[in-house]
Amino acid sequence: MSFVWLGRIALMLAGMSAVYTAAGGFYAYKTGNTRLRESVRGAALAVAFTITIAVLALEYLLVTGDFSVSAVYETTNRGLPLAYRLAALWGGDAGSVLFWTWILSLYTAYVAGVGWRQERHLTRLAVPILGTLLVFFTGMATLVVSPFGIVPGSPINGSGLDPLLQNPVMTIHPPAMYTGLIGLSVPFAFFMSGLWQNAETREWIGVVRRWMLFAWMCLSAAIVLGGWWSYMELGWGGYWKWDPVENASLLPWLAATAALHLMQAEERRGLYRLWTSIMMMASFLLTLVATYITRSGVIKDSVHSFAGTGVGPYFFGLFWFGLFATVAVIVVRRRQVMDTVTLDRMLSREGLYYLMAFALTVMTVVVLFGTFYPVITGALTGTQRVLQVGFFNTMTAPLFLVLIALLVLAPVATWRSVRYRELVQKLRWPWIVAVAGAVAAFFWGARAPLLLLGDFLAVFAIAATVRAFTEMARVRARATGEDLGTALWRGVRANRRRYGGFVAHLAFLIIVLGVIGSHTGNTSVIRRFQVGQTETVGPYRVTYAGLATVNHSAYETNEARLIVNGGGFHNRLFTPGINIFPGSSEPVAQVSIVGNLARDLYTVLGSYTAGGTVVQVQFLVNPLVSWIWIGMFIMVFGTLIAQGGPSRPRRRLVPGVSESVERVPLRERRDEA
Amino acid sequence: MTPLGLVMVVTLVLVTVALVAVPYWRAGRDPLEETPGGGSFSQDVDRLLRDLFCLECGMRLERAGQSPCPHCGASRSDAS
Repeated sequence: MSFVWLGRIALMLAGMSAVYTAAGGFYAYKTGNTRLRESVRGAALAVAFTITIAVLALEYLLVTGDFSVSAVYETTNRGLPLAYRLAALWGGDAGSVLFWTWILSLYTAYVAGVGWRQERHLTRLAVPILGTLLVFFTGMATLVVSPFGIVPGSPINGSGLDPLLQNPVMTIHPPAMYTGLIGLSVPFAFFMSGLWQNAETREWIGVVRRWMLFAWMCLSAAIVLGGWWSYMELGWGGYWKWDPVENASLLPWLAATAALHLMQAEERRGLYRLWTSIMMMASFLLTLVATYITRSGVIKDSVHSFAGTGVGPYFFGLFWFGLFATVAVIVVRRRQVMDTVTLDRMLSREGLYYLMAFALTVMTVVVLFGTFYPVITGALTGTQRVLQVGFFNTMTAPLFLVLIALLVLAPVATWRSVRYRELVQKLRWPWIVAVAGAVAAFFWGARAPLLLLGDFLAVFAIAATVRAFTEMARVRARATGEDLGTALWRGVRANRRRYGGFVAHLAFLIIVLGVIGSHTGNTSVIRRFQVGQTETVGPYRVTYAGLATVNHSAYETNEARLIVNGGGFHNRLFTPGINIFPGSSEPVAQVSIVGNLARDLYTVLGSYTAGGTVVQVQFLVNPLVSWIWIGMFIMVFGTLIAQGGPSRPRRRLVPGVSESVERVPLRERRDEA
Repeated sequence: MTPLGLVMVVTLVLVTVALVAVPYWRAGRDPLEETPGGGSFSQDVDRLLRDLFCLECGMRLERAGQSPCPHCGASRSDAS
């Protein structure tokens, strides 16, 4: 019981510290009270400290199995393995709000502690903005969800973690998703701070870009990990079905991707200021929409139906508060965000950014509309109507093709204008490779025009991007006398933003090829087996060896033993099964997947007779799916490369002048001098 | 609540209060020393102005801290 009280008191202290961070921070900014400002920094650290204590207290209760605590009772039971007990923190409503608050508090503490030294003038307003969010979340954790609430009676066992969440990916996917979604609050806070203080672009763009890249990386990885979980756990053989919650994570990603690219044009040419501002704010506000969709249960028919709970209205309120506040700031500072520079030529790097942002913005609107269509129809007609996968595929596929086409030009486009002759010369070899790729795809089985066009453009873009690396290495090697490998490595290090971005582009294109490939020549067949019977599935010969029951600590699995030969396998054992969890009426499929770079063989046990004399198994042959997971790792790698690049041009106004002075905005220097 | 629990709660409260109060107290005691980044903003500006402009004639120096001044010939030590 001590840990329950420790957690409760930690949460109350966190709430008070958060109020102090927000109110004190704004007041210190307004009055210029430096003592109060320093104290607010301490308060931000105090929030992180107290929430960390609360999280540790809850983790202790989860691990030791104190089922008198509601958050423990609802998400664990005695048989649950340790890893899932730890992960149960984000398995329920109360724990996930606490977990969300914890990550936000760590971000805020980092900004207050470390960021203060680098972007002091922006940080002094960014911290109270983040503090305001902390007030909301600590309030939610303390007053609404109560992670340390007590269950009546003295239960000796818990109801257990949702079986669908008992998957290794689920120990990584939610933290990555939370880190990404919450991470978007930080660039938003810095951006709002810069906007309110009339800061010049060069003052805020470095820090905003750096934080946004980090959040974007986490969000990208989380989205793919979510697909991976869906592929491994749900037993339908796919990874993306435009589920409302999947869309919820995609929406801020689309807006953040647009903002990240628009920022480049703003930084280099002063273009698209208003658009950048809107996408910056949209990326943050859409994280609140995402949370609302996930946690409110407002949209039915979701794979995340386990998350439909009562905290949604509060997020709805926070969204409207955030929207009102951000629009108000934009209106007040409208002169700051109004565009003063116009685009010279569409065929230029800034023109590409324009088209890219346009495609992403339209996609955001389409996905938002499609996701909320049931709510709209429910409000208008009284009956919720769900838009099917076909709507999203039809609407977004052409936009994705536009994005891929733009990636062809990205490595060769220059600022202001592009010379046609140079363009043709640089894209000659990539074009030939793309044609060869399209022919190969045709013989591979990609006969649908859209798939074939997608293959052609993706290979074209990959070849153009690879050419950018090889050309850079070749030129550098010739100039410096280095060998090609060294020249490539040093060239990338010399311009990490550019080449890190290109690696991320390559990763995206690999994912695109994986998606296209998985829709090309994929097969699905259902076979009935008796013990000892052999059936042919495509290139595979499958023999059923019998049904076995395997006892795990938390559940029991009835799994079919299938021996697969041919198609690259030699006596390979597949064990598709059905997991039966005590206390759960819904059995959960245990899929068995073995694959390589070319294809996955995906098996699902459909049904079986008593004793397992006859089983029915579904076989899916999914080409190139592993490329999607590989692409995720490359995307993280590329983002890390780009993240390490300088956040602003390295320059000094005058030799000998300290950099801390140079970083102070000119306007403030004048004011305070 | 057990005695150990009580100790933990009291420690938690004290650390939290200290995190908020100590920076306030230290910033009031010695703002120059304790302000991150090497000094307060106005001191940074003062230093910048001292480095960039001659303290005698007020003309802009060609480089920060240049001595003697290319305009009036005053050296930094003279001026200060």
